[in-house]
Amino acid sequence: MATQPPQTGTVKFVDAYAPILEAGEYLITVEQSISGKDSNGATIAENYVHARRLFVQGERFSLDPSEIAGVFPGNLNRGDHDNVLPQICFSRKTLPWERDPGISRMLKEPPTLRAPWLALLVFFEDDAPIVGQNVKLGELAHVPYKPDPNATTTVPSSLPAYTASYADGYAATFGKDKQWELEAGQHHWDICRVIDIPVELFSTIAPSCTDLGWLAHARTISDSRGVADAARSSSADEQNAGDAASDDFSLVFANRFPESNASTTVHLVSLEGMAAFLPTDDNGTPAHIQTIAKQDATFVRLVSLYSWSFTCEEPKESFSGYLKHVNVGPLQRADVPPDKATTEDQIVRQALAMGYTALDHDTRYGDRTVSWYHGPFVPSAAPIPDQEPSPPIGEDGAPTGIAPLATADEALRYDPTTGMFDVSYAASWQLGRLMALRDKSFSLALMTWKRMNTHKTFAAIHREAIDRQFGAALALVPLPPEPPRGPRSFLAPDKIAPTARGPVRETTARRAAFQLVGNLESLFDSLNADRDGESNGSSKEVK
Amino acid sequence: MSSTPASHTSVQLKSQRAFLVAARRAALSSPQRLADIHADTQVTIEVAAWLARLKALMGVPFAYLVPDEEMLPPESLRFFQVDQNWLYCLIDGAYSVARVTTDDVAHDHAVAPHLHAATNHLVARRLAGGNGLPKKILQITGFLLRSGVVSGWPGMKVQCQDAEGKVLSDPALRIECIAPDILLCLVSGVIAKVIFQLPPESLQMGIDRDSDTGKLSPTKELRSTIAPPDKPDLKPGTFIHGCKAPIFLRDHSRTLKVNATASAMRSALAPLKAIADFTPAEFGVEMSEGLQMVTFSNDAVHK
Repeated sequence: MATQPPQTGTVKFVDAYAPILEAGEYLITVEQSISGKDSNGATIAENYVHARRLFVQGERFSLDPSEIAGVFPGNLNRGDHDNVLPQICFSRKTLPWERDPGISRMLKEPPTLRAPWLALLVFFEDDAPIVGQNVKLGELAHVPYKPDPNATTTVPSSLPAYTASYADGYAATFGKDKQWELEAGQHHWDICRVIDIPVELFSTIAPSCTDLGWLAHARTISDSRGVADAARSSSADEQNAGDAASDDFSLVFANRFPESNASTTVHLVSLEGMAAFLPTDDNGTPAHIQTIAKQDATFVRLVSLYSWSFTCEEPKESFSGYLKHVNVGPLQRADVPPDKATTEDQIVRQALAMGYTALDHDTRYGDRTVSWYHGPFVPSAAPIPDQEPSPPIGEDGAPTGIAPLATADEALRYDPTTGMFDVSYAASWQLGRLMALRDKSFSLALMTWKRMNTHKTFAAIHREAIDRQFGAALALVPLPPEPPRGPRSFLAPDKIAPTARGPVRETTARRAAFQLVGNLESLFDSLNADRDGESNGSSKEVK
Repeated sequence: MSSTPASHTSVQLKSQRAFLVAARRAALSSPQRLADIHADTQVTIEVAAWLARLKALMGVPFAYLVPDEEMLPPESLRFFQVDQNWLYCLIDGAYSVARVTTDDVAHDHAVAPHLHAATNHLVARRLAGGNGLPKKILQITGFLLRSGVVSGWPGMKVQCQDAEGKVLSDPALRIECIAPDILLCLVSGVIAKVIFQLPPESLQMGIDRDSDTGKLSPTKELRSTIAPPDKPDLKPGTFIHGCKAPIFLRDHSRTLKVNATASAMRSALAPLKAIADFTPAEFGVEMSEGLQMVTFSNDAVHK
């Protein structure tokens, strides 16, 4: 399989992830042999052996709920699922392959698939009843066991002689090679959840030895965000996309379709060492299920690691069921009258096709009329008029060469043939204004920005006017802090405009320059103050 | 009237002032002059960001968007295009705050290109999804979906495509539930097709149902798991036209004969060279449900 990271929103299917070590007990042996001759010529032959026992613990009789990433259909879900094979996802990608059901013992050729030890069994309401109960681990075999940590004597197992469980399965599958026993950290008095399934039902619905390997695989999902997430990020504003994550998980699915219009229960069971009890071939030929004492079994006891149930109902309650009933069309009123020759009908039909609706309109003079309105969304087929107040849209999407509107009324449009107003653009202009005014921080920011712009204009105009009027004289400002010694003139001869009125006496020129600068400053201030009080461009006369 | 230098200057300043006022009038009445002065004026980020949100119609009351409930009845999907004039008026209305005098109008006129450019730049950046160059803003179109699926399947994925099949919604200008059962989507470009899909986590295994009887279909349409050598454009996971495999069930129990079904799929796919190998992974792909994706076409858009 390719090892590149998956693209966003893709699912990669993987046949199986083998655990590095299967759960169980391991013995590590290190052996070193030395042979040769020592300095005296005596033969040395020594052998050092060191052994360590190692236990790999794994899920066996119970499952931490946090390992389950999800089930489908969901617990207690009511929906249209009778064509779907129930499935369970595990967040650990190796989980289904951590133990051995013993399939390889049952097949003539070596198996090509790695069979999972977990399977989903699907039970219908009208199946033969199964019995679920909590029992001690000792009840999974027929031999006596210690019922609690302090017990000095063993008690006989209550597992009925006609019920086959894991000890029997191991014996039938592995023969004398492997015996069913508890692993390190597991005790006969630990509690687990079991179900007793009638043998006939088990043989009918359990996957066969050849089926089992197909019913688990792993997936790598690279996340793509759903609607809810996308909305969250779009309100959080710019620059935060690209947080896709990829995820590995393993998945086991059932081999039986749920029943229509009825409740279905699914059990996740352990098939560890149970290969001999599974149907033997593709057609599901039942296996001969016997207990360890060679008695024909009537029940099979399996550990149920998880179970859930759901109900299959009418198709409309499903995702696609909903969407299939959705009515699709352009965003417009549906009641366009059928084609008629009258002018009125023509006009109304045309307007509705353009996304208009007629609304009551209270005019400013108090009279009531009906006006056309359409929102920002118009039917895709409708032509959008390219005229006032629409500005031509430039290359960068910005409007060009149109003056901003001074009032909403400028955006009102009047149709002389019908005598009706189109208030759409006037309404949107007014709405934008009201929304801006309601948001104090925005209107303040906007006002500050506009004031900065005005001041920038005036500064530029005044600078230019003064430059023109006073010529080079003002290029002297600011004054040097200390008049230099030597010649006492700070009016350098070459800076004086050629039209200057003859030679100016130093002291007079200096006083005049100081005064000029000071007066100009206050003049700017008063001009700016004028500007704030000015209206409609009528400039005040200067006295 | 003495003729001291000071009073002489003051007389001169009076005429000077009149001169300045005149200069200002002249500049303000010349749009070109104002535009030159403001050639390098920058828009403050608060202003541009707020207007960019407004451009995606955020905060616009629903009654303005859809003035008539008849336009969007329950269980309906409505395609639309966004009227640029309407959007322009909305933005200009917001921009009109503190526009009182003719001077203000002149100024707003002069810096409007900067304002719109800055706003559009932020919108374009959003369309680029935070990575890559800002995208050019095309005509804005979208749809409204009012349905029980909006509230029932919040993990639902939406993809919009234009007539050429280009994906427009990655990312969308806006995609948001504006009411518990109403989804609004705005994209840059003309939507020809919108696809609703459940998230990949809920990709299910299953078979089709006969559309007339509602019974389980006896066959399953197959997908390619690799691009076949003779059809390199075929994406893995797409259906191969007309390629089907039988579904085998055990008698009377709705139980799948898994190995038999898998073998049938393998033999159906092998001659087409649409599989490299057939493992539980490929079986998982073949068994995944194809129904949980629904496509709507915008009939008003013709290629």
